[in-house]
Amino acid sequence: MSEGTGPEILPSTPVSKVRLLTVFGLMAAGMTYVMVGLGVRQLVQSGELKVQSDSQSRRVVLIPPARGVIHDRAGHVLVENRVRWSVRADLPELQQQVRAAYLRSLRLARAAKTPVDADALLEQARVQVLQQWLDKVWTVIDTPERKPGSPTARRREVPLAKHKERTVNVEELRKHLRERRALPFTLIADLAFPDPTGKEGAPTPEEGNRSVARFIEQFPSDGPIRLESDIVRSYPNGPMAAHVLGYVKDTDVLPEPAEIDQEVLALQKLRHTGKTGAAGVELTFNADISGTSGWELWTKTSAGYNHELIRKVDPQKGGDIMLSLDVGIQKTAEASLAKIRAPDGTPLPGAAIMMDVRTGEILAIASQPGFDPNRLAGRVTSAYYDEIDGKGGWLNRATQGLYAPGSTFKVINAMAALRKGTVQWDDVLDCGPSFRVGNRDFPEHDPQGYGPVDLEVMLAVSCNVWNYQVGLRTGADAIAAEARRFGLDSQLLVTADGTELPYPAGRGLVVPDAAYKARLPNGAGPWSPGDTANLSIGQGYLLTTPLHMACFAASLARGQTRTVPTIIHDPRRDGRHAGAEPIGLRPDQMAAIRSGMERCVEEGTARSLQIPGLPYAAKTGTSEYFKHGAKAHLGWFIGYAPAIEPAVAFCVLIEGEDDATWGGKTAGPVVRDMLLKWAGKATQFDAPVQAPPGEAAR
Amino acid sequence: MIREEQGAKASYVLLTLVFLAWCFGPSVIRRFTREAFVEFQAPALELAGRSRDLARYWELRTRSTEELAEAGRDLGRINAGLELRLIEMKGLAEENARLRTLLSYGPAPEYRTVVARVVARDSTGWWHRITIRKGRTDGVRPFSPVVFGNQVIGRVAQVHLNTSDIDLITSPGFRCTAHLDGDEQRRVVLLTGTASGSRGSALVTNVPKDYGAPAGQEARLMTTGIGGVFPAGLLLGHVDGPFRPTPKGDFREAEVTPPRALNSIREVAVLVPVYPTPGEQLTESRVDDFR
Amino acid sequence: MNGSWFLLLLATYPWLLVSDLVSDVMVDTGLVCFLTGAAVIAPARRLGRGPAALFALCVGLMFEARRPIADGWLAFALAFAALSICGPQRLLRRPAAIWMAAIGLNAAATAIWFLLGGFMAASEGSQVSIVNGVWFGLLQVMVAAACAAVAAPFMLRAQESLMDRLGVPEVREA
Repeated sequence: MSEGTGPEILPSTPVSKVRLLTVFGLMAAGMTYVMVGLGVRQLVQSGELKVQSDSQSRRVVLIPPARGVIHDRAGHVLVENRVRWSVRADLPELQQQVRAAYLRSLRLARAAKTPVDADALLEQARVQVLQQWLDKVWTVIDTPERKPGSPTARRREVPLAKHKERTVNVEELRKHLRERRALPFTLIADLAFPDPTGKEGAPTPEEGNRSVARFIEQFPSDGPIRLESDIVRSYPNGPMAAHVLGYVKDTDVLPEPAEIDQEVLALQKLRHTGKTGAAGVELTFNADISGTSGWELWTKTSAGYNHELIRKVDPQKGGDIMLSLDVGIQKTAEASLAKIRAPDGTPLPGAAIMMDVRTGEILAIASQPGFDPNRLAGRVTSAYYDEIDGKGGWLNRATQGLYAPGSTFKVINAMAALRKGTVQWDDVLDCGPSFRVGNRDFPEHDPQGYGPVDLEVMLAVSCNVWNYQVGLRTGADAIAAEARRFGLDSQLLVTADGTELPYPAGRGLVVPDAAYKARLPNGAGPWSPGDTANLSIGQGYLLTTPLHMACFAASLARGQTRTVPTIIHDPRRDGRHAGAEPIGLRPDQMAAIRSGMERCVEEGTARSLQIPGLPYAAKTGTSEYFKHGAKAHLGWFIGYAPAIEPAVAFCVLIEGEDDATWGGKTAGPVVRDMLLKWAGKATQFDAPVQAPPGEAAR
Repeated sequence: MIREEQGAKASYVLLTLVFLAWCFGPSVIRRFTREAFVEFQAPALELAGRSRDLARYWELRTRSTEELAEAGRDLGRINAGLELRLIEMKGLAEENARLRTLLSYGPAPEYRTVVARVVARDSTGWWHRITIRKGRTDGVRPFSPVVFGNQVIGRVAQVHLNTSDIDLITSPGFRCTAHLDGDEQRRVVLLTGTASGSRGSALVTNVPKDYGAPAGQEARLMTTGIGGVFPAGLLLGHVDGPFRPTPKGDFREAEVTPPRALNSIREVAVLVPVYPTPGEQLTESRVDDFR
Repeated sequence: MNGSWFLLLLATYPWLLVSDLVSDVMVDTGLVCFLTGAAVIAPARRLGRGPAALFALCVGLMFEARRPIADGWLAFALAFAALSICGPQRLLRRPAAIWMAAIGLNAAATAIWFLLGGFMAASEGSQVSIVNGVWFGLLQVMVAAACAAVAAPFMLRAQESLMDRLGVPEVREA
């Protein structure tokens, strides 16, 4: 280097060797640094600056799988998984900022000579720092795109004003620090869909996507705030069929992980929160749709943070299921139910069911009031829980509601009489305005009475007196036996292996007889003829569910005694029903019953509900019950359609507020709407819809 | 001798103190220093870039007149075609504006285009950057998207007086939302540059499991235009290779090849938003937050 | 402290610029032709502690300025290296030793900035592949060593001769 100008190069001295070694040492250190450093970096990223050699203990992280999708019979999605974007804060990375904020407030507190609560100050500092970051997130998302002189732009640009997650939830933060310190803290749980039901102020999916896109493209990615995405349960139709579909809840008990050793399973576990079915199909078929958990085996640092991934197994998504429901009919049923209102405008509680006569598959099953499973899928506010509770929305009235079937039961009373021979189908009985049983007058619903009435007319006009007379002749035991023959005392929606069960329908069913009354406490007394008269018109102790009555209608349509309803669609169903036998009445007797039910629509209590071109058979019912201590009416409407070669059976029940509710007038319109909807798409079912005009005019 | 040793010790102590002051002092100092050193080098870089242009110019000068005439003819033809497209586009733009008003959609973000020559390129395992010959004085602002034709090249990382540094889409800091070809539901997927430690690549994540690429072609990634930074419909790249499941099993991801060799581009256009995005305003405070 | 360190810096800059231009040519490989570390050796030998440290700081900052590396870390590392080289007992006298030191310091400095770059990349929220990073890092360190091996003799000679002209005293005897 300096040969020409400087002094000659001297032999190196021992001192200079030390210097040289220093430089080479530096170089070696650099090389080592790059190799070790990258490993160290991983720890720095997770907020841990020092790894201690004694910290190499292991832990298992369980990862929840995605749940299967639920479809309706045509493949429309009823329950799916959607992307949920959540904004999370990496707490270890924020430690420095929290510390600075803490020291600041500590100094202030000391300067002000106020007593210092270190824990409170630290929490306050944490919240303050997180809030600052949260504000920044909202600045990026909320600030309208500026464009002067364009008021329309501004109007559309403030979508998430009602988003609740604008302030740091202190309770959640405490819980997080206690339970999941190693995981990032959630600032905004659901950025795109704060309220998926689309209530006022909630963003449309496009607006939700825009929020996410803005965060991704504009928020600094090198900070402690990250956007994470996962999959959550979504009910695209909101409250539709909520009682059947059910909802999910958070759980720490994840499905069994695959390929895991006992030794690994025994390690300390850190679980991501998973979802499990809490009600309805989500609960009943939980095992089928929840899949298999994945897992990761990590070494951990002494501070409890994950260090190095040793092994991982991916989770497996759960299986899909196809329900027998038809979205169109279901929606119609619910919309129609919602139109039935009390004088004060509140919708009346009720239930509507339509099922396939041949297979027992339920096409629609509605219960009002209901709830929105989307709002129950995440954190459920107690306010929403109480709201549902207050209006009785948890009860599935279609399968769990117990009611006296009223006049719809007269069909069974008539069948019991025909079977026992206490009346013939063409016997004409004189029916006045009331009928005396013992020392009590049992009234007709028409104060004029009906005069001469045979079975067909009875079914058409729903004559009470005919039933009192015939019921007393037949006897309670025979009527109860007939009801049991049609399964009115047995639980439904239970298949042979007992698994297919969205809700067990029929706890508390009552088909009363003398033995039943004898078991009642508080001296109800022995069975009396009055009890029989009540039973014959479906009142008294008799209690059943709308689903049972729908099944009865389907059984009657097929000429069998049992229908096993099901919520699962299976195109290969053979139409056989466990325990079903032929009804066992003579064809002329059956024809009279069918004809009576058809006349009910043609000229009887349901004559205002005719559907041109679709003759159907029905029986209305109006029973009395006590609501809030006052007498009120239940409106019933059961039947099947078309009248010839029936394809669907139905049952609608409305809980009236007072005595202004009637089977035909109140419940009937729901049936008509459902039938119109069904007829519009009936080609997809096996049975024909339109009977030839000649036959239908029978 | 002893004084020398004391001096040595003192110098280490002094340098350590300066280092600490540098680390914990106001970020303005660091920013100013960085700027100063960029500006110190800028003229040389500019000179290098210009001499490259000059070399190119002289190279072109050696072409024969026939070659140039032929090129001129070709250009004329292309030009005629483009004139026609221009008229078409004008009609479409008017219709677009009308539809936007009709549907009361927000206006499309407005950009000012700054065309700039690339003066330097710099790639390592950790970053992929180019430096362009336009800076603050030309109105370039950080965060602005950088395009070439209809393709996204990257986005402005830092702006200096007369130059700007661009993070290419393969750089780890790059993030952008995208739509995948053939996804009728127009779901948002995420494109990020990756710090692979070696060659630059980009990764598309958050791809729904049920997404199927259109048969017989590579799926393309286009910008969504809803994030407020990139205009809609620009090409980000092609999906390269199979979709792999993500660790949690919720989504899939795949490698993405940029539309062209990003390193061979000589000229780019910076789309500077007329109105600064909120994210851009955040960047200023960001510098302090991480120190 | 006179201004010779600054003149030396100006004279060294073209070397660094050329290395940047070579990096530009090599851009498809993702490797950087890095000479900054080697540039510190000669000034550190002959300039005083203060000027040497300043010189090292400046060349370090020049490299960092346009690149996403945490501000100042490479520069201060070079400054500390410069301090350790200069001192009363000037050790680097044999050309071979100086050459080796230039290679060594260049490689070490490369390791440092490569690591810092990885650090910044990971803090952008990207997945970092450690295996790739380590191998590529080693390759980059070797390339830097090779660059120094090839370019250092010429650059050092130029720096030395400038210092001679500026009247910077040669290394004194111990």
